[in-house]
Parts: sequence; structure tokens; C-alpha cells
Amino acid sequence: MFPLYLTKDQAMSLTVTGVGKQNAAAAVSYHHAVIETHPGDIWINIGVAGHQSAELGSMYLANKIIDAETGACWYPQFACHFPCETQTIKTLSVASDSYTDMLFDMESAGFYQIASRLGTAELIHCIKIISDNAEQTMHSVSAKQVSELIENQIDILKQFLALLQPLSSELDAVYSPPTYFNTILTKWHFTKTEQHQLERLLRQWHIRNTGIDPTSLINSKHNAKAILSILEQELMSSPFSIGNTSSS
Amino acid sequence: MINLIYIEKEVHEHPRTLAILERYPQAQRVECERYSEIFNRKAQNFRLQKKQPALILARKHEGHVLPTPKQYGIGADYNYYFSHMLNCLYDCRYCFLQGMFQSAHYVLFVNYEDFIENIEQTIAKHNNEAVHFFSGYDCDSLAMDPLTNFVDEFLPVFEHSPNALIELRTKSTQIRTLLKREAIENCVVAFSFTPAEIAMALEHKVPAVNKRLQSILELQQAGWAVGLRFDPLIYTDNFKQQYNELFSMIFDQLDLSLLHSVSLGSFRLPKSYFKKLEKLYPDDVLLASPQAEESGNVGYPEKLRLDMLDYCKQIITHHVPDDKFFPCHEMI
Ligand code: SF4
Repeated sequence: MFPLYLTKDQAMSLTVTGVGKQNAAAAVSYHHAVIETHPGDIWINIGVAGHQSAELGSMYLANKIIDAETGACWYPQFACHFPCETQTIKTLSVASDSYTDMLFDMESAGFYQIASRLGTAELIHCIKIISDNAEQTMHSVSAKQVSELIENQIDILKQFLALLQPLSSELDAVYSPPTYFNTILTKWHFTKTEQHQLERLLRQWHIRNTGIDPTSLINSKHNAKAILSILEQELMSSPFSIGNTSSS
Repeated sequence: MINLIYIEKEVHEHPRTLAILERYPQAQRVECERYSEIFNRKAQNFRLQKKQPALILARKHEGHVLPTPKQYGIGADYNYYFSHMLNCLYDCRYCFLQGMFQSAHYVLFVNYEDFIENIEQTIAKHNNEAVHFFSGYDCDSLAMDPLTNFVDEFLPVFEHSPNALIELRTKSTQIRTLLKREAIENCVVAFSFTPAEIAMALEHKVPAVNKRLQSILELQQAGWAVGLRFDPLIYTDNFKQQYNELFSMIFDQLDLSLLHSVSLGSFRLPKSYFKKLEKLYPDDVLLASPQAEESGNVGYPEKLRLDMLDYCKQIITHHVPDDKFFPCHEMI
């Protein structure tokens, strides 16, 4: 469907959306289906945009995305301070050289609409590099120039990702099951409700008994109920201190 | 530090908007139709947003003044609250705001004139009856005063309304504006406290307990009535020792004759808010507390809760007369 590239360590993936918001929206869905993205993943739409007067090659981050066709708006969320200016982007259905003080592009609205259903708003962004303006219009932009414009901004893109990465890791940690959860599930059968109870109790266990392995306590138990019950009993009788325990 | 300001089109030219924009010339500005386009949208994450909240300048169209829930009050029959602001500079792990809102951005409703008109109408409706107003319901009343100018704008309403009283609920040390004004009898600056160790673990970005106490002393010296809010009480296994130390520190230093009121309540959150807290901060120490669900709230098991409340009540009533003590409804 869409060309999709993965880095060797599979930490980063790239889908080439092609032109237009429909393509961008479909590419996001495709990317999600193939990669099986998580809510803690970072989503970036990198592309070019036009503007009345912005300097060619300069880079902007979208602070508001307007779908020119429907009037719908989205507001990307900033959880840290980024190393480039922000601007409103208007996503057009048909390319135009009637430049204004907003950025013009053809993909952001399609990208953002779908990505914000799959990911976390603070980790979804549109970065645009100016390829054309009133002096040098879109008619003179070649594919090779677009590649060069983006390549010239790779360092700032890296800085940008480095700022988002800790936020993504923080969410991954929040969404990860507590230690021993998966091991326990491989040995005993837990219903969905029991799994939730186990997750909660294990988290409480780790907070109250930092570094202590609970499995010795449960190894002799025959079923989920007995495991939940012993964990609960142990927790109730273990000390609970707020002042001396570090919170996350 | 405010780096981004969203501005509703409708308040773009409002004098309060212009004054705030002047205060933050570096902040990026983004126009919107309604604040709800940004605030509380799905897919937003309160925990991440809390790292760098934006400011949203908006207009409140209705519901400027609302009656408080029944049990909420410090002695009057008629109790109202108003929220000129949503969200707080601080980040207390037990705070209900993180359960109530999807967003951590600060929403400031700049049309104070409509709030003030509604407050005045409410006061007039109650003629000579005592009526209380609570301002720190969805925010901390004073923490952002340099930005909101709340004290200077709202207090004059009460200067001329002796039957009304306003409570400024806070954990802040932003008392400069209050100290510059003449104290008025019908304003209570109510400070919330948990013991220092608990505060360090759960009240992120909040001024230390001793700094808050220092602010209280300064306010008392300037003639302001102050209140103490031991709500929520937080359990820890040396609970008695920690609260004992807190009470000693406070009651030994305060001028008790200038104390307006003391209230007490145990930690509890509506169940849906508690679940949200579990999702946002699953490994926070607060979540490993003893817990029980009761009437749609998650709090401490009844026996523990009543023991804690009773213990604190004994100490508080030793220092404070009964008519100044307002325990939560289940102790009455
Ligand atoms: S100070 Fe009050 S309003 Fe602010 S975060 Fe703490 S509990 Fe919430």
C-alpha cells in the first residue's frame, strides 16, 4: 500500500504518505496496522509547506491545524519547549499559491485526525519545512529540492525527537504491566477481572515492598483466587509509609 | 512560565486579555473559537500536559456562581462557589482536578465582571442572611494571583457586603497583594496542610509546610482572618506522630484568637476519578494506601478513617473552640 521503512533496531519507522489529506489519513491507519503502534508512541508528520513570507528552508511546528475543506480544527499539544517556531497550518485539498500568513500544506489535517485517535495528543506533531513562498512559488519546487530541504533540518528533527522521547518512555512505563505480572499469567489462569485485581495488587506490592519478589509467596497456590487472596492479606499486614517511600 | 496562550476569539480584545498578553510577550499565541476545542479533548494526557501547561483565556457564559454540595461549608446556611479559573499551578497527587479534567492547561475566564455581577446578585438575594462564597474550588485561589489579579478584582465586592464572606483556599505563599490591602473581616484565607513528610511525597511544586505557616503568620499580623484545612487527611503508618508534629507546629505559633475556622476531612475521591489517577500514576505511593469503596467514593476503610478523624479532632478541639471547628459530615 504505502512504502514503509524500519530502522534496524525497529525503534523508528517511516511511511511515505504521498500527497493529499486522504493519502495521509490512510497512511497513518496503514502504519498503525503494520507496526501495531502503542499509545506511548511518537507520531510525526514531516513535510513541506508554503507561506507568504517565511524563509525557504525554515522549519515550523503546527500549533493549530485547519482542514480548509471542512473547517475542522485540531490543536497539537506541547508538553515541552521545542527548538522551533510554531504556526497555524491550513490543509488544502487543492494546491494554491494564494499565500497568507498561515502555512499551507496538503496532509496535516488527514494525518492528525487519524493519529489523534491512535496515539496521545502530546506525542503527535506536524513539522513543516518551507518549500515555497510568494517570491518563489510552488511551481518551481522539485522533488529533489524537497529532499534537500528536509535533509538540511535533520539535526533539529533529531533534537525534537530527543525532547519527545522521555515523554514517550514515561508513558510506556505507565502502560507496562508491573514486574512478575506476565510471569504469573503464564503459570495460572486469571479471568479479565482477576487480571485487573492482580495488576493493582502487584503494583501496591512493589510500592510497599520495593525489590522483594512476591512469587515465593504464591508458588504453592493452585488458582488465581488463592493468589489474589494471599497478596491482599500480605499487603494488609505490611507496613505502609508515605514519608519514607519515594513516590513516582 | 507560560509559553503558549490560547485565546478565544470572543475575548481577544478584552482588557484583561490584553493585560495578560502584555505580561507574556514571548508566549506563542493561538486563536480558538471556544476553549473546549482545546481543553478536555480525548487523547490528551494530564500527566504529560502538567509538565508545561498552556494558558487558555476564555469567556464563561453561564454558571458563574453555583451552590456548593450540601456538606460543604464553614458555618453559613447558604454556600456558593465560583471558578474564575480551572486547574492549578501545583500538582498534588490526591487532587480531584486530575480525575475531573483530561487537560492540565490553565483556563482563565477573563470576564470577571460577569462573575462579580452574579456574586452581587446572589448576595442581594440573601439580603441580611450570612452567605459564604468559596473561590478555590477548581484551582488554588492565590497561586496564580500575579497573573489573574484575582484578589484586587474580587475582594472589593466583599468590602461592601458584610453579610457575605469569601474563602480563599490556598497552599500558596502569594500573599503580597493581600498584605498591600487593608484586611477585611469577611475574607478568610484558608490554608490546607498535610504533615511535611507527606507533603514532600504528594504535594508536588507546592510551597513547603513551614513556608505556608510563615505566610499565615504574616497575614495574621496584618489582621487577616485565616483558616486551617486539614483536608484531605492522609494515612501513613506513623500517621499520629506526623499529624501531632504538624498540629504542634501550627498551633504553637498561630494567634488562635485570629483563627477563623478549622476543617477536617479524610482523603476520598469519586471512583471514576480514582480510576483515572490509577491510570495516570499507577506507581504512586498514594495508590498503595489502604483503600475501600463506599457510596461511589474511594477512600480509607471506615474504621481507619474514623480513627484518623477522631484522633485529629481530639487535638484540634483542644486548641480550637467548637464553634470554629468544622469536621466533615460523617463526624457530626
Ligand atoms: S493545591 Fe489544591 S487545587 Fe492545587 S493541585 Fe493541590 S489539591 Fe489540587
